[in-house]
Amino acid sequence: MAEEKILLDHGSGGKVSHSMFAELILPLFENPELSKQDDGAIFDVDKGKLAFSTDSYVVDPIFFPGGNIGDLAVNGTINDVSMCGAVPKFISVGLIIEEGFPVKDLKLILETMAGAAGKAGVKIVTGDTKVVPRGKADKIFINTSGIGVIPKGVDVSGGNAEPGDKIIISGTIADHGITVLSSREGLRFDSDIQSDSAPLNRMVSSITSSGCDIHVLRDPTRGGLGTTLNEIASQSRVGIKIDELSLPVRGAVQGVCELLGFDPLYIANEGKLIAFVPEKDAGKVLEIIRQDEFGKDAVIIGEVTNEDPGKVFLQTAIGGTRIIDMLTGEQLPRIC
Amino acid sequence: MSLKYIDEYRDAGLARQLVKKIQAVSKKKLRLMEVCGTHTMSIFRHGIRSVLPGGITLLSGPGCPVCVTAQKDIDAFVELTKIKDVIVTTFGDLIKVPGSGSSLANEKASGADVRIVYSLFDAVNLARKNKDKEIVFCGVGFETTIPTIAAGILIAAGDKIDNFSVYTSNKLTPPALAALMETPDIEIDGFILPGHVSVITGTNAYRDTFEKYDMPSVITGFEPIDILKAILILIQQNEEGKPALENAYPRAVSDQGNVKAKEIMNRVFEVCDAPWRGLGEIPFSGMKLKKEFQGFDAALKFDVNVPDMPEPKGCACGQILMGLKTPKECALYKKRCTPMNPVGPCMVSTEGSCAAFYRYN
Amino acid sequence: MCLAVPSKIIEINDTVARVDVDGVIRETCIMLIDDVKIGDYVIVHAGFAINKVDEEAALKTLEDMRSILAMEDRKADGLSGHP
Repeated sequence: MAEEKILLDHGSGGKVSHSMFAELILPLFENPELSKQDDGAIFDVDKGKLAFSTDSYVVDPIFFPGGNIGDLAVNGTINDVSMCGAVPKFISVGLIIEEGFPVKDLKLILETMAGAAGKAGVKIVTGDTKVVPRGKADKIFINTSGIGVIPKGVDVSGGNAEPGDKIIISGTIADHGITVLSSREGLRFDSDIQSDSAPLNRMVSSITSSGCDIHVLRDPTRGGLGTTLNEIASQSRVGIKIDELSLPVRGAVQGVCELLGFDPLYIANEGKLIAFVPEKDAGKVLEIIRQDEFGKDAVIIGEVTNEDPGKVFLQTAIGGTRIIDMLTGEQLPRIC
Repeated sequence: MSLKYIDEYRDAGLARQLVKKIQAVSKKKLRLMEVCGTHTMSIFRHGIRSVLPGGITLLSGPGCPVCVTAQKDIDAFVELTKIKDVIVTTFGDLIKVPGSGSSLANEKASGADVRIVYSLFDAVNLARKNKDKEIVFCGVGFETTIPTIAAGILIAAGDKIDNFSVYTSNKLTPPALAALMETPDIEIDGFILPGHVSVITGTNAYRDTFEKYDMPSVITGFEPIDILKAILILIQQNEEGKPALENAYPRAVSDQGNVKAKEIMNRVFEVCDAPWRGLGEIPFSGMKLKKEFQGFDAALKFDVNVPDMPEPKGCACGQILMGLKTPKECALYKKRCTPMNPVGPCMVSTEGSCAAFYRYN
Repeated sequence: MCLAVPSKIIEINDTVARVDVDGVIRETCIMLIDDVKIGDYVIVHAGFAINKVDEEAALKTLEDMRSILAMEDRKADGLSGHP
């Protein structure tokens, strides 16, 4: 591609669009379904249930330590499909690009997306590109949708939690949200905190194929662990109790939280899952998660109770309890 | 994880021992008031109420600067956003606080240039970089923050940055404590005094109030061990009938406080009367710019005129701030007034008593 | 009010210092305090260091509390107070 900046022409559907697809996009995402260049992708799937999910990505900044908007968009949808207990297979990508966006940045984002899909073993089979006039979008927005196949016998849902279930988290919380926040202009932190953006499909497959009973899988993204636990407590009409001392938080992440008055329980994760597992299988599932490259720091953080349905309680380090409510609005840096 | 001077004061074993000790010595029914929003937050966050004996009630006093900022001042901040070429800068705490009609967040959503800063430094730098704009800072703070606002103004004055100004709504803690003690029907058995305000003021700043009212008073930090220790001391003082002014935060607070910070604060500001939301006018409880710094006074620079509007009907924020009511006793609590749709200031700030109550109870 | 976090000074440049909170580095203004040196811990509020942490007092607070509580515990049930 000769141009250095994305022009409105790149979204026109004409020659310039075609050359961008042929020269930039196709070589990166290459697969038989996409190469056909039909209006949609046609593919075979195994018999049984499908899972289908979509998500849009508007993160600011678009590049941050540990990733960029591209792998975030691919991993995010892979994870959403995986949390249905499905094996993600195919992904669609919709790009909305602001006029004047540097082609080299776009290339980097697309390369990262291709890398993320390849790593997860998922194909990007259809897509779309639109270019909007300067100021009508902020640099680049990405939508991804994904389809996955649910293996026979797998039945996970936010409504399946049962009293006695142990709750496992696959690693440290709040890494992604704090990374993005720290890289925003104005806050000016230096640290080695990185986004945890990662595909969790292999971890999920290992768990669901282990023969263990799995009730709930969820990735605590926006709203953080606290909000996700509230969703599950209300979907399943159960109480949830977690233990503050068991919550894994990286030192630097905790540091930023202290500085800005944030609660890590309400900060986004992009490469973590929580699993609700009956006590008998909890130890085994924990071991399986720990074997995965993205699950080394997995721990049990609490359990499901039949008291106070719909409510989430935290046992604090000093032995007190407090209610963990859903996040009500965006957390803002405070000085007080 | 290792956060020095934080982790060791969160030591679970030590905290549990302190709780045991508190349980053992507590006999009388006591109402203890913290006058610092960060204490309020910390008490909720660590579940401190849930480990205290039933006879101990913790009240959240007028310690959240956002909560006590007069509605009229919020209205003025909102008016400032409507002036051409003005960028309004604020700490994140203030942005959602409703005035009589709107909030900074509302105006921002409608296109006004409102920016959250983390430090006065950032606001001054914004002025440095945007010479064609007027940068106004919403100066809301207690003794901890006022010196940083003063320092920002001194930096701006030194560097001849003339497109920077501050709309001041500063508040001082000891006069508010004295006003509280003069309120009829007030029932307080001890004060947990604010740690970081006291870093600046020093223990001595409370001596007059303490001597006049003989009120058990303990300055402390913000970690569970600090707060539990202060509660234990206040209980012991009450049980023994020996009120005292104690400093349980000696790693940060001295008798005379931060002399240099006070000097900088007093170079730029002078004491004035100030209106407190819910409490009314309190003599000598505010700080306004001195004459020689009036060039930095946004109120004079922009001629902001806002009418006096009555405070929201039914809102009990004032009584809640004085410990006369708990959030649950307010008719609007959880009904018309929620964190999503706050009516009174105590629901807006995350450290406001009502918001904290809503979130953690 | 007044969130403030103990931070370690790692670099000083006139009135601006770089401080570290467990690997998070940022700038802070030190014009409100005197005699700071690299390695000192300062309490930082809204981008300004508002005081130095008194290390001796910090340790003493904890030690005093531990010994008082341990004594009480031993008195109460004959056990050592340390869990």
